[in-house]
Amino acid sequence: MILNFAFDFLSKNIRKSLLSVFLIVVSTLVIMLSVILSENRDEVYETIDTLLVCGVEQTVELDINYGDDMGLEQLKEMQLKISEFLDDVSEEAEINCIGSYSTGGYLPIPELYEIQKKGGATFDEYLNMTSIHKNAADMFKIEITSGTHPSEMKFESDKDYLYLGSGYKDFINPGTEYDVNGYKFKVAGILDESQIFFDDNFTFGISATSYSVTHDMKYEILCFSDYHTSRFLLCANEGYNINQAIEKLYSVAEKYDMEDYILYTTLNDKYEMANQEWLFIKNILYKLITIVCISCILMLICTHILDLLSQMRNYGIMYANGFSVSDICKIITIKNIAVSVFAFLISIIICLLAVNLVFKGYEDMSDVFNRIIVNIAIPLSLAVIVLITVFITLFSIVILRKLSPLRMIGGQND
Amino acid sequence: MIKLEHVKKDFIVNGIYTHALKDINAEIKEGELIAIIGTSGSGKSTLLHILGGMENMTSGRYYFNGTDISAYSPSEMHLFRKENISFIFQNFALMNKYTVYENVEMPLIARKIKNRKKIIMEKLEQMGIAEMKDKLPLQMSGGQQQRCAIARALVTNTPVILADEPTGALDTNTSKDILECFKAINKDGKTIIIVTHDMKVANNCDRIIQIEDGLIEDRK
Ligand SMILES: Nc1ncnc2c1ncn2[C@@H]1O[C@H](COP(=O)(O)OP(=O)(O)OP(=O)(O)O)[C@@H](O)[C@H]1O
Ligand SMILES: [Mg+2]
Repeated sequence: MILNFAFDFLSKNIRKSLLSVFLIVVSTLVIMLSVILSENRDEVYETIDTLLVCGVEQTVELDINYGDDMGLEQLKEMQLKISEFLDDVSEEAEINCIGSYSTGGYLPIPELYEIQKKGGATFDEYLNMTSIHKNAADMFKIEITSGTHPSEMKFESDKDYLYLGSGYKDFINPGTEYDVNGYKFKVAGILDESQIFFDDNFTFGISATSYSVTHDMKYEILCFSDYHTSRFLLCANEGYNINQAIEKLYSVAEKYDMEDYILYTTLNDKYEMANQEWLFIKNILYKLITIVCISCILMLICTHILDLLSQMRNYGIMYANGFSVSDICKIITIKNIAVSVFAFLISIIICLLAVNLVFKGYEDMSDVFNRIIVNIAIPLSLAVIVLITVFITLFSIVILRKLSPLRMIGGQND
Repeated sequence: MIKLEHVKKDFIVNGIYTHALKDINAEIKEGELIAIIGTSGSGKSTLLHILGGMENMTSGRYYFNGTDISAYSPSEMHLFRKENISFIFQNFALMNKYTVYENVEMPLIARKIKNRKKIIMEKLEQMGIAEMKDKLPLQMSGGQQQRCAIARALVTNTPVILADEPTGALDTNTSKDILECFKAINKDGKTIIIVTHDMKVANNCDRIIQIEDGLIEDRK
């Protein structure tokens, strides 16, 4: 019976009910949005942290830049010097490993290219490969399902070693060798399905979309070679912090007369820097979000107070005709809960739909967002909604308990 | 059945005191049909509200069947009203978004009474508004609304019926019908107290209480 009255009141004041629903939906969505915005950053950090064996804290990015006004002879000499320098550096106790990686088009191996095409090949006829220096074999967390793990591999200097994505596993066996125009390749292993790797020149992006600093490796190839680019990662050894490692790096560089060519930023600094820019944007966003959210909640409370006042006469009539205050309070409670639950369901649906629409095609990302929504955004906004509902309901009950039926009806004159 | 001793009621609005009832002493026996008369603003409605437990008094004692109910808490007062009182408000107090039928049904729902339809239709017919049962109050005339309010007061079968100007919006003939109706219920043993301006109505009652400026005047 009381249920009937509750839904009666809702349907007989449909516009006000819908306004309440709308306000709750907006504030819930806004809360969810802010959670997604803030959580997204930590996801980036964590992904990178787990992909690096030594972790973000222990890793520094190096730029070894020796200028471009060099003749060919000089350049070759320089590269040899860098190679020696790097070998020397990696011997030091403070330093776990140093190495470069880069992504690009490599010599064609038709057999592999055919398979890569299925995953959407980037180049015509050339294989898209991520090349990692052999010195950096221990730097990245790599999981394989067959073959020899890079950290256990005895690399020979006349070959490059290929680790193929899980998409290749039914077609190519570890041990297969290729010779392309004198360049030798050997398939050393097949990567696990869950393997991800950094995008080319990964940075900690600012917007939600540049979240994608990694990608999956299903049709990708990792190639361990002797090839250096100018961008390096250096990991400090366990028991040493990253500053000690950098100090050591420079003292070795002095011996090679190279200290002026080397620039470094720790990944942590990079993260903080990106965060600085991000913080600025986030600050503004959060201010907006707070304003929207607070005004929604205030409006919601106002609507409820107005609703309470406009229904007061009806409540009074019910009270005078035998309904108890607690009956009436039950009606109000049910009404509020029904509105909140309905609005909350709508918000969740909108939020999930929006995320899955925006990130259609980025399965990883929509997974992450869905996880953020389910684990954090939903409980948080649920808590807010429950708080508001409880507050509004208690407020109504406290007021009603103070009034006589006559006062509720509004005296004898309307 | 009802006994009032030195009942006072003050209203304070913006610091200004209105002494609506100054010192009311009265006794009402079970089964009486009583008219309260007096000029406008003399305190008739206020007295009726206090009798119906709709309003607290400022001081004084109210005995109902020998029990002092003046110090009842709101919830005790609610139970007292639910068991004993049916109230017809001066402004009808109908729920405007509910039909006549639903309005009359409400006190029965509150008291969890079954087989409501029969009782309701009976009262609606008695009041001559059975064919309007699906109309909303605002689609009806003042007189029809008044009859709806009376029907709502009669469905519950409480021992006391309080009516504030129940014939105020009715023509002489209908007033007579309503009065006859009250008289009939009164014969069944119910106590009825009516506030009225209409001397014809008042003269048909067992007893008249005249109230002037918050005090009961003795009738000559
Ligand atoms: N809620 C209230 N707040 C303040 N003053 C009130 C209130 N209700 C009644 N009064 C005052 O109490 C006095 C008595 O009012 P009451 O309504 O009892 O008069 P009444 O005899 O019923 O008049 P009428 O015949 O016009 O209905 C009046 O002076 C009125 O202004
Ligand atoms: Mg009056």
